[in-house]
Amino acid sequence: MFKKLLNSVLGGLEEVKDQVSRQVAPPAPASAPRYEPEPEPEAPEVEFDPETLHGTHYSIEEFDAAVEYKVQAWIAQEAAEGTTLGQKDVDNLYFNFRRDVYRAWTGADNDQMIQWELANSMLHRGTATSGFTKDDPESPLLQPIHGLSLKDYAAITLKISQGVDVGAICQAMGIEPAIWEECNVLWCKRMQEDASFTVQTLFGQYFSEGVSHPKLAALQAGGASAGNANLERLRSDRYFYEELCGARQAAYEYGLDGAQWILENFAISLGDFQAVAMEHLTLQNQNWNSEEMTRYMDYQQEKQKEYAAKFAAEQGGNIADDVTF
Amino acid sequence: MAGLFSRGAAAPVWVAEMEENRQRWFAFIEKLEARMDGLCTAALPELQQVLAEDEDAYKRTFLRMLAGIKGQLENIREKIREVGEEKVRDFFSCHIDEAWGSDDLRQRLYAFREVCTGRENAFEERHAAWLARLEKTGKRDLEAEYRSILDEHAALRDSFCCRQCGAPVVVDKLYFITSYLVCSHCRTQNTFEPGSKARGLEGLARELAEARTEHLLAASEAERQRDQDLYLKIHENRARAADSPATAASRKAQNEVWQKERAATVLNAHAAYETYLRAMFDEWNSIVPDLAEHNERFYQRMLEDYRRSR
Repeated sequence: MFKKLLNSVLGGLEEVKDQVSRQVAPPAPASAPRYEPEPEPEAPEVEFDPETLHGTHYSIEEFDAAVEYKVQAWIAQEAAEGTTLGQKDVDNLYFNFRRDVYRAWTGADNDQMIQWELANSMLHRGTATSGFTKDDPESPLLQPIHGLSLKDYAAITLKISQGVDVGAICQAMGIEPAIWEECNVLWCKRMQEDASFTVQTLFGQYFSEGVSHPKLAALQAGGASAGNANLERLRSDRYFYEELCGARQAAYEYGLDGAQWILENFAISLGDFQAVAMEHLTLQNQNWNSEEMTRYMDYQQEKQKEYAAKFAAEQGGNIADDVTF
Repeated sequence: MAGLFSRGAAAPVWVAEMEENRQRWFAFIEKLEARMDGLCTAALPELQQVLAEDEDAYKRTFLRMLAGIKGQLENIREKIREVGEEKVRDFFSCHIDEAWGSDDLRQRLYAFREVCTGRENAFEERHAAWLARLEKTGKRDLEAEYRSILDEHAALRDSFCCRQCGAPVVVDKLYFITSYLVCSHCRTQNTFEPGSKARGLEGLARELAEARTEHLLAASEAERQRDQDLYLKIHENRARAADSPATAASRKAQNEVWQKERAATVLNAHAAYETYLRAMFDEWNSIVPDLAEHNERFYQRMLEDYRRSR
């Protein structure tokens, strides 16, 4: 439908004499010089706790005390100048002074600092981060609903998104469809109620693990993507994953169903694709590397442009292809 | 343009290129705007028709078409951004050092950048206006959808009978998920399946509640806008040089009045938003009373998030 509209508009355009030269400036050479920052001086050797990512040469209590001192001193100074800080301002003070003290005490670079923030997001900001969030059996928000745990719920959702029949899933889980429907509503409500995003974050982690649920692992939809070489490659080859992300986005921007396009061309269901996306996100959080992330983003955008050109060609071009500077 | 260079020195070559860039930039954007206007003008009635004919519950045919049109607009924006990067922003950066030695050259280069950026901003405003109109084509009549859910439910409710004894089974409320209802005659448990429209009630409820209370949200946003307007007035007042101590004193007094107005306006905006939030959740609970307990916890969370962020 979109292609028909686009072609009708393109075909109806009059030939416009472009009096300005149509020459486009040549692209920048591939080896254009890039700004390279000066290498930072080598920091002293610091050991980091594997869980908290704090340095092992101080205690967390000492760290918190140093931050608290700085925050209170700032608040007092503002008060002496007649300024009362709001909660948002105080939160910002904690955020910035934590960074200052962490960098000063550990010599951490930016990537290390960000990873430390992610590992401590619940403690510092009260929000969960994928890769660092643990299940809490005491939390009321994580209690099973009608016997279905959050892990069960995530696994069922994955199977549905893979195209497995809901009736078959309910039978495998030993529950009535009515129970499933109520759980489906109430788990979503738990996510809404949860200001810490723990339920949502754990759901994402479990979603990517859902393939291995003992009661559901054997269930497959017709044309299943499990065992599919493309799916395995999506999981193991980050660049392939980024390529398909770019392709999917380009498909949407050309009026196609991107997820359906991936299924038709690579036999990977949306559910499986998103499960792999969660795996990559979690690994990324646990091994924060901003240079690598920039490379992946640039690669995805490059691929998106390539696929966009392909889809454009299939539709007779873009609305403004002939307009040049 | 005469008398630019005080010592009569010849203008650098890039000055002519700068003027050519400016002319071509304006012509370039004008042509792209014409394409954007043509596409969107043709698309609006088509989108409305597609939406009306789309029988999919999630209106995916409509959404795909809308995504395709927005993709074309994005393609145009990207073209402008890339050319602007090279012909305006990089051009400025390349020549500003050289221009720094001459007031005239510097002013011309800054003026070039300002007028070209202004033209790009005007395009962005036009683009945003089209985007808003395109999005509006997907605006659903939520009240009509809700009424059709109620009608569907009424038909099912009035015909629901016990599978064992055939007696009518009381359907005491608007169920949106499969539910078990006991026959009052023979105590058999019956499975009540809501209609396909009723199954979408939970998804519709929040949007409908927001639509019914959007005038309250608008009141809060109007206060925020007033705050912004006052801030700009204070800023402009400060920026203008006073021609006498009396004028300076008068402006200072005016600013103090506006600052007090700002403080009151901010408080009004917060109060108005909290009024909206409460009213929206009340509406939501009235549409789906079975989820009121959960929605109340969600309301508390949103209220705390809002108070923490302001």
